[in-house]
Amino acid sequence: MKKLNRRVAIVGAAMSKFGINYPRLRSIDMWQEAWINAVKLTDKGISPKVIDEFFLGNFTADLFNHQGHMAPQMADLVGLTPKPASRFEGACASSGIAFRQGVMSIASGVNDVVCIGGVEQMNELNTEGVTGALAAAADTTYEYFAGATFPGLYAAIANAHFNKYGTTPKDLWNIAIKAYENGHENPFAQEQHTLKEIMENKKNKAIKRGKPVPEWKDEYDFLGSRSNPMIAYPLRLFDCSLITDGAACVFLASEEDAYKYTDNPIWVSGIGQGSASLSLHDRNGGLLTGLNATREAARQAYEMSGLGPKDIQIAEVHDCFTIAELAALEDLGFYEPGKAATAINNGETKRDGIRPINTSGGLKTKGHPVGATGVGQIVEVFKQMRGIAERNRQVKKDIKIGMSHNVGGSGATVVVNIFTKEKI
Amino acid sequence: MSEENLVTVDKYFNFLSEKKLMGSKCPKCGNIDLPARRLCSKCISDECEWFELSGKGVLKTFSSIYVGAKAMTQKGYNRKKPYVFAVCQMDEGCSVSGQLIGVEEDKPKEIPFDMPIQVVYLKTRTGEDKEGNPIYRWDVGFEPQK
Ligand SMILES: [Zn+2]
Repeated sequence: MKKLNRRVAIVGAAMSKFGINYPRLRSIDMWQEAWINAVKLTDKGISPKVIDEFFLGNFTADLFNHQGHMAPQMADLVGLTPKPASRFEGACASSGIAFRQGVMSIASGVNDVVCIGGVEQMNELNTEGVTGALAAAADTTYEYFAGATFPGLYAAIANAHFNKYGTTPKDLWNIAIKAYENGHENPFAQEQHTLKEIMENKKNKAIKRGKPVPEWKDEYDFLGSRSNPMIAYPLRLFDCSLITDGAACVFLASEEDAYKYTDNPIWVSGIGQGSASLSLHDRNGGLLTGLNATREAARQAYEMSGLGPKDIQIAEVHDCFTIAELAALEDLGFYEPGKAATAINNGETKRDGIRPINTSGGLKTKGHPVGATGVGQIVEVFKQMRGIAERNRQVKKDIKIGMSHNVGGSGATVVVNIFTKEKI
Repeated sequence: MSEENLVTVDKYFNFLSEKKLMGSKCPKCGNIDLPARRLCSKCISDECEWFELSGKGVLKTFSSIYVGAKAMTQKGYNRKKPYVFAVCQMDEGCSVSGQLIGVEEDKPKEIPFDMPIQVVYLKTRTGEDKEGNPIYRWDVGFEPQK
């Protein structure tokens, strides 16, 4: 993997509030909110006049909102027309791909400053409709009629992981509990209650309705109860991420231009993207306990940056399901296959752990507006590296090296980025 | 390769409707693909030919699905009556997805990995033609070997 021809930096990044925003807020509104917030977080300000090109990630407004051709629509709202505006699609990795294309466009010398957006408005459809639209990210020809669902595919990965390494539901619940702790500290997250608060609310509701009040010893007891129904064995409701509306925005500049917008650029020091067959069954050689495409994307990003897994101090990884976070920690090389669960149980991935993972709350509680997710992850790494993460979630130590990891579908597309404070 | 023998998706499904499990075999490297492919997945040779598989294999991974795909809920599966989505490896080396039947879907912990399976052919009604006759598609399914 060759280095970029010239260096590229993030000069500003922000997101809209993620949540069930529809119908109060639609893509048009959320995108403008993300843009305004990103301009605010660009220290010396930035104007659409200096932006050479717009790259948008969106999975399927076509199915969610009957809206195609979205890039110029979003570009127009923030004054970017008549500049080039294109939409990128790679399921839940759509804006991760858009980001990588934007980076390469500056590295190539074609552009000096670009804007990357991500947007998705999912809650216009009911759960069945959303499930149907998301199923388009799997293989319609051969997997869908076999009964595959998005949770079902990850459940099959989880089951294989359980079988091979002895992983347990409790190992996965530790990931969920951490996600709620972090989401609690993120004012932009969809779910800001801790799991304990959610349990209290359920009890209070039962009292109000005059129903028997459930008793749970602790979070694990709750997560193993009927209040956490099975979706696809071994994954239950609280193993799944959320259905979210949201948008996110990042500004990138070349090394010559970056200091016009900030004195503290965050450098994009490694980028990688991997692919795999759409269907799980075609991943020949049969890696069913993780994602080959993550391994490939990480290999490229490590090689480009000259860094390794041990150097990464913080990461936002793609936790569309709890098992996806566990597998990512192994596929990214942070832990040997089968060893991540113990490290998680020891608290290594918490905010005060040796390598905090998903301080934003991740897709699990911050939310998963699929096409906006990849850029949303970059927003969190940017904030943590700048030391401006809100509430109590700013990691105490100075973060010099961070990573984002964005997956499309059940792992057919993966993007990995490595960010550094120093220009290495 | 004649048009008649060309490996296409439509022919693959037509074979399934005749209860024939047809993959493709590469004359260059001997690799067998299922579902059948025009280009060999190992060496990308374009000379693949239809090849009938034994229909026997083992269970590699699976999930009992309680909140199902629409295609399955229409068949009557629901939270109380889950179905099993499975990935099986055929004795010939290739793998394919399908519904696993003939097991206790609601007791996934008791379904053993690497269990020997055989292919069954499952019919789904997908709509009707102009005259109102039902249209079906046929898919690969699995059951435990007897
Ligand atoms: Zn071959």
